[in-house]
Amino acid sequence: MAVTKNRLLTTLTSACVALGVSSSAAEVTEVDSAILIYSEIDRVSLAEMAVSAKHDFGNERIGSLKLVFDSLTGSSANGATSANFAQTFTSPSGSETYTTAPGETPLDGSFKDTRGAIDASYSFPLSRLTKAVVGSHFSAEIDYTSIGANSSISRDFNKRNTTLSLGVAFSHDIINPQGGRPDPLTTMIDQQEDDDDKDDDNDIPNRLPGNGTKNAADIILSLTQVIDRNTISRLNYSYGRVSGYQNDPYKFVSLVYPDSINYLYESRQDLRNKHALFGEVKRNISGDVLTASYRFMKDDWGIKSHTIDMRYRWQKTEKSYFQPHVRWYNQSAANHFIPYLTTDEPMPEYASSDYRLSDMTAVTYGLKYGRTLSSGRQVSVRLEHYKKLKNKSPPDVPEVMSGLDLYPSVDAIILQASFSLGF
Amino acid sequence: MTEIKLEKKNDGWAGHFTAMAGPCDILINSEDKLLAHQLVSLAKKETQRIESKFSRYRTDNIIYKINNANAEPVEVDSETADLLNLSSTCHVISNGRFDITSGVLRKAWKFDCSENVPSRKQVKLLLKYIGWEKVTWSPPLITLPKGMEIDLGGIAKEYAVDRVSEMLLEKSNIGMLVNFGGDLRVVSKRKDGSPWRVGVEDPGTEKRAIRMLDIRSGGLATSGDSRRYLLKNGIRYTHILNPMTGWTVQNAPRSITVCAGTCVEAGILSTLAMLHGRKAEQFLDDQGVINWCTRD
Amino acid sequence: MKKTKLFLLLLIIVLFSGCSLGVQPWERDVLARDAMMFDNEALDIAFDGHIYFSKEATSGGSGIGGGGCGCN
Repeated sequence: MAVTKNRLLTTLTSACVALGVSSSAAEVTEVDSAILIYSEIDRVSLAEMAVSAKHDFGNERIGSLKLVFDSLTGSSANGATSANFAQTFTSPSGSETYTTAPGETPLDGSFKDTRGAIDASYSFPLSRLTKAVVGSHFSAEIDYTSIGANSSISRDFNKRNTTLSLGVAFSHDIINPQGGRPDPLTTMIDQQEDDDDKDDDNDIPNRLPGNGTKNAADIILSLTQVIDRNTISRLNYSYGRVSGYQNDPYKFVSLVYPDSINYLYESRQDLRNKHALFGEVKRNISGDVLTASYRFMKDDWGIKSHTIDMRYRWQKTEKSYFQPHVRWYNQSAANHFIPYLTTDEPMPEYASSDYRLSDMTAVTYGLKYGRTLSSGRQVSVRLEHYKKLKNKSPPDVPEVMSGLDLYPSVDAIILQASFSLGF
Repeated sequence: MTEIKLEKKNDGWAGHFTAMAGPCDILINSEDKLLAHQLVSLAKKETQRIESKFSRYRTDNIIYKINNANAEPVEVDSETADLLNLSSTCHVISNGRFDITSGVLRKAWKFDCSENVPSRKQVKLLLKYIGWEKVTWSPPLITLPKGMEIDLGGIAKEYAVDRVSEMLLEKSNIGMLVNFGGDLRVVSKRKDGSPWRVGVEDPGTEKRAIRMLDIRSGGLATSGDSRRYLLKNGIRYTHILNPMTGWTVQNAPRSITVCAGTCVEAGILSTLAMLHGRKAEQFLDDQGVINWCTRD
Repeated sequence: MKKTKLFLLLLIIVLFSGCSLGVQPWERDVLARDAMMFDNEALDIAFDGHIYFSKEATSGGSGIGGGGCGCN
């Protein structure tokens, strides 16, 4: 084949352009892995493992896949108040009982769960300045299954100094508690009474038929803005709507009589609308990076919360850094939160004594150390302490609870090790 | 595993590491040392990936698989396919002068500055194992006849320079230049608009003079190596071999430096020019590319 | 109330895009560092999200995706 001199260069150039375009199609995969242990003193422990892989298909097309496994063991507060006498509860399966000593917070020690979750997402350009992401997740544990999908679109403006994005997410959850779904505000079944009636093993009373389901829809509007050479910020507004079965099937509300306590299954509203504003700033301070964020959330259950989070990455050398972290969280109680019910008041339609719906303040502080190895891989470890502060007990408590700590503090240690590698 | 060394320059940072049998430098027009370290680490990782993927000295990569397939077809990934397509195009436009199967000639030719010039018979025996036209290349399958082998070493370094450049450009828009021992590419212009000034070693002279070049964009590559030759009866045999004759090219310049859009393009042009021997300068001038040729 | 917030948000967006906040492309050196990316510690953030979701009444806010846990 005879090629004229000028055509040689043209052909070569276009061959190189072809190479240039597809050279970004080289297989580049980044893999991150981490293991985390969360342990509350004398209570629940969680071990969690995650592996995430990001594959660059070139031309700004990136796929990510994340696998998470976790396992939960230990005791968890069952919602009932502490009392001046020993209290006996039936475990969720209805087959066992456990007793809490006088003055102690009732804890259900039968908690054991493992969860596996998979997350996948794919991001691709729609035009030079517009990008789209589609994703989905599936997670399963013994009594809970969740499946969901999400999508977002973002666009750059102002020399790529401003990015606006809009995202939506949906999820459908199925709740299938051990021993069935308790009928809200009915009395805890008493195993002792049932003992002589073994035939009814499969037919625990005060249960709702079938599985519980819950649907959640979220919409998020996000603005990212470069402020100057050292500062970048973002502001998100999100709205979430959750409808369906939102009770914690393992939580009780104490119905307090003058000399005894009855235990009812909790009852939460089945619709929740949440609005949240989230602002975050990252600033470079002569090589170190300060990350500060604030989140405000308000929902129609009456909860308002504030979260402040600050991290300071102190870059010791080009290869290593220390990062102290402080987080402060405060929330007001949900309307239907009640520490206990009494016979003086009419029975409310909704009631939960889950401390997670109460007034609360929690503080986390921690330290992370990270290092880049000579192979380019990154390792880090972090140790944090999470503390839910003690609330004051209400002034006039019934006789059976007087002098007791109704809202004890919770202390937990978080330990994480991460390892990132590229292929 | 070689370490990364960062060196402060008056206009930013220079990162150095060793890969592909030579020095690799990344010039970064920013005072940010952490960014420089991050970018140089990325460049090093990518260079080592390309080196191990296309090296013919390894037994665990695609090149080894292709060369040891016993005339069976081998399926290649898209990146390898792109490089094979480019090699195939170059074979056509150079009328057979550019040939990635010519590596078997090193069984006869050892450029160790001695006078061990092979016999005609020796070379002739090898010629039947050379010729890209004998290879069955129908992407993504490649089939080599028995005894033949391919070697992408002639473009792998230039490819690494371009590939690293593109990766760096995705990370930042600040001024950068990638220079792997004289094969280089401007990633992006300097913020004050002035050209990058680089010293390219001129391998054509025994003194190893440094030629200072100002470059604003594109790639640059140099062919020729004063250390690899044979000398017999006063005839100097350069290491540039013509795959069609199996013999070294006579009357080629001692070194050729070419400027082009990308480093790969520059590298191929300088190699092709070498193969044109005494007509090297004319070949390059015909292409209308900026070039520097050094002769004795 | 809701409308006021949305209006405020829109106002901020207009203000941001209207003025010349930001940098020139060749000034993106610090901003190109991994530590300056919002998703730099994605795994840490996801782990924390899971923990706080099971301990507090607030979750999310910083992004979408993931989720699905019976821990609350």
